[in-house]
Amino acid sequence: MMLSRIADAMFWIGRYVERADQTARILGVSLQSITEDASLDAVDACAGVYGIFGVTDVPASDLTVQRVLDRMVTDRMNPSSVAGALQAARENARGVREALSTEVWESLNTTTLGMPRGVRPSRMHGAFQFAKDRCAVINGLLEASMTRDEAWLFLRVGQLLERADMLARNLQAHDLTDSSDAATVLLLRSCSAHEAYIRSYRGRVRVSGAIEFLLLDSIFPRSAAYCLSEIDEALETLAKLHGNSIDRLGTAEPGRRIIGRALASLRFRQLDDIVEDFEDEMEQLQRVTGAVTRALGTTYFDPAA
Amino acid sequence: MVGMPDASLFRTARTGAAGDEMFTPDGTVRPTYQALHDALAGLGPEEFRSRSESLALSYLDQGITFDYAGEERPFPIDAIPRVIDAEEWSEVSAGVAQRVRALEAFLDDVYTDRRAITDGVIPEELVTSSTYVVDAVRGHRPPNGVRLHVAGIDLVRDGDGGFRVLEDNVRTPSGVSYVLSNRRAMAQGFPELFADRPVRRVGEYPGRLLAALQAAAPDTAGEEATVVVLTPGRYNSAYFEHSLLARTMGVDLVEASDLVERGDRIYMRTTAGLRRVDVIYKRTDDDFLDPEVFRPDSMLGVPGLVRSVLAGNVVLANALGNGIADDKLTYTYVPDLVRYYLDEEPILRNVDTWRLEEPDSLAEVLDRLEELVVKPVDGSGGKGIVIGPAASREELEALRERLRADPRGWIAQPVVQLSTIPTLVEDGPEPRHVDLRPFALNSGDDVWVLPGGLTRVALPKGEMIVNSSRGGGSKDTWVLAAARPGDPTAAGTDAGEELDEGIEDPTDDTRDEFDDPRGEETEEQAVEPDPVTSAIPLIEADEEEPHHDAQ
Repeated sequence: MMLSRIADAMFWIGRYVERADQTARILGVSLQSITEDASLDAVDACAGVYGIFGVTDVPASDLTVQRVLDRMVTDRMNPSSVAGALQAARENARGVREALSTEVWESLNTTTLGMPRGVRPSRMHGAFQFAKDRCAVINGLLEASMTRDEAWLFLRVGQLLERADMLARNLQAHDLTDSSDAATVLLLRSCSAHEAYIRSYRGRVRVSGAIEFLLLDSIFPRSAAYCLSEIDEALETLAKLHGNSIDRLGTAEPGRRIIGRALASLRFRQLDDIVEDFEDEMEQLQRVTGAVTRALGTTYFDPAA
Repeated sequence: MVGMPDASLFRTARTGAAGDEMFTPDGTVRPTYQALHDALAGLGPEEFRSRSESLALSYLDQGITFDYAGEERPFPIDAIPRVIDAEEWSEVSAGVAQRVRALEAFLDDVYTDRRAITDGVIPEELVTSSTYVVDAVRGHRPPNGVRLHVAGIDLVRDGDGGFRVLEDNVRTPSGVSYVLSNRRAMAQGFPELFADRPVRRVGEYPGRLLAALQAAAPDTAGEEATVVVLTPGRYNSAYFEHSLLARTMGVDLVEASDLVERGDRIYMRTTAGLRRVDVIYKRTDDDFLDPEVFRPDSMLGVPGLVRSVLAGNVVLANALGNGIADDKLTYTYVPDLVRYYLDEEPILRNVDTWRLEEPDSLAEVLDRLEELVVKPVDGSGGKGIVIGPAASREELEALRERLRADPRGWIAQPVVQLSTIPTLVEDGPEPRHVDLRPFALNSGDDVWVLPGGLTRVALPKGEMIVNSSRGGGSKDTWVLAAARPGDPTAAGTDAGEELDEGIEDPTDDTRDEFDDPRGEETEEQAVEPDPVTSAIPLIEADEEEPHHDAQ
């Protein structure tokens, strides 16, 4: 058992580091395609990029690559920007330093301090690479230096939930009617899944194949099904740590019920059925994140004493 | 040292002024500093400056910061250590321990019989007029009798070069984390300075602290006592220290909102519900501990905490109400308290001090205000201090009014010419004023003094106030170990004490960040037989390839 406040902070460290990483990956691909492709309407394309992150009502003056960088990469006050998410992870970590290894803390600290205060479009690749590399270092240190105790499990659940959530957002924003190779490759790349897809499916990319891979592949670590089943496993371990060792129905842990249903719903339906109202399906997948976060809150972060 | 490379590094530090710990007025190096001086000089000014800068950078990377006006700043560390020789340290250490024992006895007396008042050692008004006496804990004696688990005693060198006590800190003395991190940074950044100089280790502090806190626990029916560190939160200026101590002791760092009282016991909120807490190392002010007793308007604190203390179910370290012992008026009586409670002569002297309640003293102080230092009795961190020679006429006039209105609230001292140590500033090392705060732990059986302590340095030229809120930095503080047996210079040293003295070795990677707080267990393991796995071959003999037959 551990302090509820610390469990809560560990969960959010997991979420924020993953958010910084995913945001850098998605922006790296999408903004690069805008600057590369002169035929694209930059204003529409920028609005689309904001849309992935749920930012609407964007003033016309913000519909430029430079403004996307200002708001979604370097703005430290916005917890959904790359620098802002790292800052939020770091602030959480500062409150629970004794629960993290020194290496993890120092890495988070130097990463946050090292994020540039402003980025020009010509230099954005370097900034994204920095963020991705540093997140990989942080994740590697977490993996290698942390005991697989409760603290680690909460962090892991946060990380996986955020990953599934970002995937759902990214898929929701994707125009399924555009079946061009270029659009599908862009989607796969922004999910950091292009190379893995090519190796798994060989041959040319098809949009239905890409959706199937991103949602249902059981061994690709960024697919929705993979993330959900890993969360389920982590929640089960948590429940066991808390003495529910004979959870024969697998439902003593309220979060598991939510995750289990979402996973079954994806896995045991026809792909055609899922893509029929794809936007709504992806919306629901995002709601799973909120529901699990609330369930963790009532069970662990703020249990009735 | 032919060619004298030091001529360039320490050129700016030889000012010929008196009171420098490294150089005599004629510019020769004092023997205690000789080896360090030569090693630093050997680096040359550029190498020295570049490594000094990397020290500051590493503090920023590690988040070793303090809160300055809402901003996180790296705590300034100066790369020229302070050196104290073994003989002088043994006196300082004994003097600090003696003072802590006297203050401990004084606290016990104040909250029980008040014999010292009956016997005329201190005036009754000293206790009755102090705002720091907490009536709620009158008559309560903690389980192992200790109220002063952690003390920091501020020392300065006077004009004669000897140490004197400037003030006592017995509520929540801070700064020990910088002692630990300064040593770590110096061992990493300047490993060669430690060669040939037996510097005593400081890394055992967290383990000693945990032991002292556990010793203070109420009866836990054989279970291991649960110790926590209570912090006001990460916006507190000393948060780094709270976190470091919790981490190195391996205990939880809690905020008041993590704690709750049920049936006169204190529990912390965990993911598995409530868990009992036995000892709270509090790093918050008394005023914000328990709204039932202090400040009913406050949202901060743990309602019921004081009730639980009085019920004997939880122990606070340091105890509630310790402020009476570091009231600056009490300070003036400490030498008498040492004689009264311990029947010993004080080893460390006070700085001469005027009590303004005595009409003659008040008159003299009002007359000589421009040459004196005046301090509020309840201040800490350099707050409210007026230095006569540096104050304007208007300030002094206003101060006179306040002294007349509230003589109990102030003490006056002559300006102490603090000693200096060369410190790296813009143009190179220059003499800067320093003080010393040794830390002492009282486990009930024994008062242990951390070898060294925090040397704070005032970075602005001529400045006498060393607090970090006034632009102060710090230095690693080296206590040299007594000469080893067999060493020709060892004559006359006490061989018994040497065994105790851990020596710093920067190349020793076997240690973690700091020493293992559970040192005793490590020793036990050392005498155990080899681990079982070494007795079991990785592969069973009869499963191996029978290569002899195969031929």
